[in-house]
Amino acid sequence: MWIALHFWSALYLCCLVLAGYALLDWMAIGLTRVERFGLAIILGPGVFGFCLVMISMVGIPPARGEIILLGGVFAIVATLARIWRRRAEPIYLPPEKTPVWILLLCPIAIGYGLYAVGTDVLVFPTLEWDAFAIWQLKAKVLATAALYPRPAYFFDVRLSYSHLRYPLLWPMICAGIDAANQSLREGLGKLPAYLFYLGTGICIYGTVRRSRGRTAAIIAAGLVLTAPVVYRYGGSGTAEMALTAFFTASILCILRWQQAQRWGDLILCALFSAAMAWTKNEGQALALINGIVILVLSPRPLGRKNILAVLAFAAIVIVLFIPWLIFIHPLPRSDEDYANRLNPYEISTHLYRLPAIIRAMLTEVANVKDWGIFWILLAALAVLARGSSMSRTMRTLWVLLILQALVYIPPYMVANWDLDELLPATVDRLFMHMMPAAALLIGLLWPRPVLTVNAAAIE
Amino acid sequence: MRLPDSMSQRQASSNLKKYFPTVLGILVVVSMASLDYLDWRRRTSPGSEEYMKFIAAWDNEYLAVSRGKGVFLQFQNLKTNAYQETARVYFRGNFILYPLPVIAAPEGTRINRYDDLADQNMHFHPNGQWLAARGVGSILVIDGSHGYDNPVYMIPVPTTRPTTAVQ
Repeated sequence: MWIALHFWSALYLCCLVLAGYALLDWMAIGLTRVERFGLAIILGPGVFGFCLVMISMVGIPPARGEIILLGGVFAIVATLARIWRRRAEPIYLPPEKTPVWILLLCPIAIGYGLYAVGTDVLVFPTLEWDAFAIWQLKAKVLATAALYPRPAYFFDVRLSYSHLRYPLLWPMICAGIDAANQSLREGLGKLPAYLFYLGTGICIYGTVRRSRGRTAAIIAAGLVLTAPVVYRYGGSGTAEMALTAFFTASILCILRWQQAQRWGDLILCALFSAAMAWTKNEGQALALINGIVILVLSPRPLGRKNILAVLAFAAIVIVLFIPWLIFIHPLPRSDEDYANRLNPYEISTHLYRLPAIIRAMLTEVANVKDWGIFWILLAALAVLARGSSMSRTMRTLWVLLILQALVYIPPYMVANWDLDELLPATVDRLFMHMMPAAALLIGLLWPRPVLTVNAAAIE
Repeated sequence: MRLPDSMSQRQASSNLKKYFPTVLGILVVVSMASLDYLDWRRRTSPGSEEYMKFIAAWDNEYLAVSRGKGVFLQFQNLKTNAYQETARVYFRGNFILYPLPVIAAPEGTRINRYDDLADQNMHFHPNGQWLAARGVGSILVIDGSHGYDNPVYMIPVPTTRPTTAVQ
């Protein structure tokens, strides 16, 4: 029984990873093995979950046979990509001497994180309030009924606390586990979050490794993978880890687009942005920010190719998001309803909340219990690097970070919750979404060891 | 006189540049290790274990009471400071028993937070027919006057005659 349970769960996870490789091999070239793996384990659950949602929307709930069939289709797509796609030369990064103590101690610290989040997703039941009240409840709904016709759950305002109009990608990814096992198993649905946890760290490692070396890459990835907030939400079953991972991968694609303007990177970025929009309402704002950054910070922003790229990005995100808008159209607006409240009138009448929101955000930056030295380190490195010229990559990351912080303020202003209640419960999660850009900045600002520079000069 | 000072300053600056990444690296590794230790302590703390026991007790209670049918929750003698726990019990029940219903208010009642739930529930006493029509097989009474250590008792729902059993 136990073996069967884990066999089907493992098979489902393999299908998710396979889906990631299948699409990635068609679209991206010039990736290192590490970057390819990191992107694949984030892209796969997004694509597979989206397919399950679409199939459910035509009246077929997720089931084991469907998962095996989809896995088979992605296996064929991956094989075709291997056969037909011209493979670029493998990327070899220059060797670098990393201090032995970093190579020994950081993996131990990260190893604890792998253990902690691993036990959360695999061993413990769903304990976090939002996880069982919202996300994993939805996963059960999706595992037991198709989205067409819409299940009664979506109209039962007695369950309004579970936010009936919240996006469904993460719950559907979790529902896949139940479908693969053909039963509702409490706690097991959180398992795909582990892929997102790993993927986030690996993508950050890969990006920093390429431009700043291994030491900086280990430090940047380690800071993310061992942050207390990530321990809190990484394996809890909420959608925070999924959103953070999708955002990390989308940033990587934006940076690659800026460097080489390859269409594959732009399409991938759009896919990750659409996945963000399907994961949480905040993800819709983050997708918009990605679009703005591509428009403004690409080389030759007003060039024909860049304008086309922005239009293509917007078209992909909108087309993929439209089914969701159609689905939620008749659903009751009974929860916070941010979409209707975010208007100039509501914002201007709640301006008095602004100082409290800014104060809470600044307090969170210095909250060592939530973040260790993460944000303090970023501030210190930024101060040390002041005056030196800033690359396009650095500018992009700063703009992403600042826009993200700004975009989270208006919802707090119009929220129908008492701020004293709302801010302590949510501000750490919002900072978790801001983590990828900040971690990449830490990695890129990390001082190069003097010895390495000399060695490079000698070579 | 100033030359040696300047040289030693340059030397100090050079040393700082040389050792700065190492010092920073040590700081980060110590921070990571401390956070791991704090997380370990949090996970093994009595508070964390108590919370898990609380959740497990409620899960077991729901599964024992339900016996394949829905459950109606009836809160009694709630104190305002217990509202949050009340909501947790309601949310947890809906999660654990889904797709079976856990009902605490009439249809059309918006329950967004704990005060919605408590306000509605304490004035709502449906009869057995109403409950049976909605697939409810038992009433779970939660009495707030005894705290939440062992506040639950179960009343089987009579399906043939109306009842105001929950007092």
